[in-house]
Order: sequence, then structure tokens, then C-alpha cells
Amino acid sequence: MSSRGARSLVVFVVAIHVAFLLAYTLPACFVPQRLQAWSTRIVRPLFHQRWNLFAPDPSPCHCQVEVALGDADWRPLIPGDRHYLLRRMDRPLAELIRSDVQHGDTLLRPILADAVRGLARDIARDAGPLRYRLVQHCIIDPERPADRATRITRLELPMP
Amino acid sequence: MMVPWRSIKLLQRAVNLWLFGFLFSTVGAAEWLWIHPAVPALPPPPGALSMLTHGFAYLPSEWAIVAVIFVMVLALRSVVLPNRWYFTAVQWVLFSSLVNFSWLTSTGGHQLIANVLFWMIFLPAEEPATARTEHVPLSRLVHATAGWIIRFQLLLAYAVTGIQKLTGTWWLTGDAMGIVATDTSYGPAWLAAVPWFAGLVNHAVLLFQLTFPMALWWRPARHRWMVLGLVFHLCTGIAFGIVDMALAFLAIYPIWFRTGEDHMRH
Repeated sequence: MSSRGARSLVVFVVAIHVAFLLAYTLPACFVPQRLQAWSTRIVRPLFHQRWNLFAPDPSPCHCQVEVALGDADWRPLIPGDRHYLLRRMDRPLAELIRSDVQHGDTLLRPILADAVRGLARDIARDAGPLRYRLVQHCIIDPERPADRATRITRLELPMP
Repeated sequence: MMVPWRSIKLLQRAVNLWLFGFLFSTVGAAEWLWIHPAVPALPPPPGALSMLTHGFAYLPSEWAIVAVIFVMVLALRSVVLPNRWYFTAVQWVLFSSLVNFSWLTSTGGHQLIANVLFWMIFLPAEEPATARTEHVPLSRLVHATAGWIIRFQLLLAYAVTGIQKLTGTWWLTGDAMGIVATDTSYGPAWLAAVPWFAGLVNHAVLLFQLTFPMALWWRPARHRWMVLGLVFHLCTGIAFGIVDMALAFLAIYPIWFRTGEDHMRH
């Protein structure tokens, strides 16, 4: 292939790939619905990526799942002394649960319930079943983010 | 048209070093992540192609630890020896499957490395011979396409995250950084106690992410913005506990290094 033809071909392939990635990752309001559907079909299985950390806005609530054994005190589902990758699960798991709770659903989806059970598997069960709750600390005024209101929601887990 | 060989070589080494380092760091939590996973795998997206990137939705989960060790061995090999496409292909399949398997621990950095690994399959293992003919061989076409897609992948990550923030409210009012800083998952809380500084950092982050793609395109600004990126990623990585994500971005920077570009022009 001639040098000029080769350059054109490279530009074409790169442009098509980047266009599909943009259609997949940009906010939905920027992308025609049909193009977004195509890009999801092509990009999702092989090149999945999301670039919305703290975007479009950071979460207004700090949230955490807590667990209690019988009548004992509540403690974080993932204690602070765990491996960094286990601690990292705390936030996205709580966010997913918060999203369900916001829609009035305190009975967890099976996959989230299994994740909660799996992360609590090292807690001894002699004193009875475990109880779970979602604790949220939400901002009241974005200009004074340190002042936060606390909301507590009891969680129900479906039978495994 | 070609991405400089020295940039490609540095990228290959940096990505493999990151792969080895990250997977080695997971060994301490192997029982929870790979051997007896605490969190079940997500169902794969529709389509046969997803079998390549969601292997552990189909394979026994106990094999994940074997994949971790195998990718680590291949990564260590590729840090010192030429990157063979077939080894990189295996690394891509296994690493993508591991990222999707441990979906609750994955960050944009892991997704970035998985995507770059795919295109690294098509990069040369050794310095290509200088072509002196009018006709461009197919291998050079493939190398150039893969190199430029990796370059654009990095720019796209910054551009999209910046644009996503522009569609919100609090990044534009300057309140976002204060909200992040007072979230006990992140911090540092002291930042919110100095509102003017939190606002300044807020707008600086937005400006950096939106200008990064343009600055890298403009050669005189390229290395300065990379230094800003280094500071940005190390600060956010340490403050938010996502050092692996920070290093993943930095591992891709070499693909934009100017080293060798002047040589290629001549």
C-alpha cells in the first residue's frame, strides 16, 4: 500500500474506534440513542470502561454497610484493618445498596445479598443470625460539606 | 505515522511492571478475591465475545488464582524480554477476566490497563527495520494503528472524565472537592476547612483534565502536563487509597514520550 493510503487507513481505523469509545463513555445527553446502542453492543464485551469517578457530581452521602451479631454493637462490614482491596469494596457495595434503598427497596438484590454474606463469612454465628444496616452521612448544604445528616436503614437479605 | 519504538518499549515494560506489581499486591487477599471469592461474579454481557473478557463467568472460580500467577509470570518475563504478541494476548484474556471477576475492586486504572493490553498485542516485539520503499508493509500499518489507539485511549480517559464533570453541578460551583474531602472514604478533611483552597483545587482538577488531551497533542507542553499528571495521580492515589489506579495511568504515559520523535522525523 502507498504511504498516503496507509496513513489514511490508520486514521480511519483509529477514528472509528475512538468514536465508538466516545459514544460509549460520554454522557448520554451528548450521544444519539442509536449510536449509543451500537457502541454498547461493540464496546461493552471487549473494551468496557467508565470515566465517571466523582462525576457528574461526587456522591452527596458517605455510606457504609454495618453488621451486628445478635444484640452486639454494630461494626463495619469490612473492618479498617483488612487488605486494601477488601476495604475498597466497601464503598461501591454501599453505593449500590444505597441506590436500591433510594427506590424504597430494603430487600437486597440476590447478587448484593450474596456479596454482603460473603464479606461477613468470617464472623462467628453462634450468637444468632447477623443483622445488617446501611448508614449514610449526607450533606445538607454543599457549601458546608462537613455538616452531614445521618440516616440509618435496616437491610433485609433474601434467603440464599 | 509510527509511534517511536523507544516509547513502545517503555510502555511495554511499564505496563508489565504494573501488572506484576498489582497482581502481587492481591496475593495478600487471595483467599477473599481469587480462591474462595467473597463477591459473586457479575453475569457477562450478551455476545460470544464476552467469553474472552469474562472467562470466570464460565470457568470454575478456583482457576482465578492460577490465572493470577500465570499473568504475573508472563509480566515478569515481558519486563526483561521482548513482548511476544501471543503472550500479550493470553495476558489480555486472563487479566480482563480477572478485572471483571473482582468487579467491586476494579477501578478505571484496571480497565485502562486491560484495554491497553489488547492493543499491545499488535505492537512490535522488536525495533522495526526502517522502511525505505514507497510501499508500507501491513505490519507497519498494524503497529501504527495500535500505537495511536493507545495514545488516544489515554487522552479519552481524561477528556471524558472532564466532560462528565461539566454536566454536573458541584464541579462548576466549586463545591465538589469539599464534598469529596469531607467524605470519610476519601479525604483529606482539612481541605474543606479552607474553602477558597478547596475551590481552587476543584477548578484546577477540572482544568487539568480538560486541557490534558490538548496539551499532550502540542509537543512543547507535553512533558509539562505529564509532570502535572504525575503530581495529580500521586496526590489522588495516596489521598483516596487508589495508588494502583494512579500508577496504571502513569504506566501508559510513555506512549506519549517525545523520545525518538525527532529521530523519526529525520
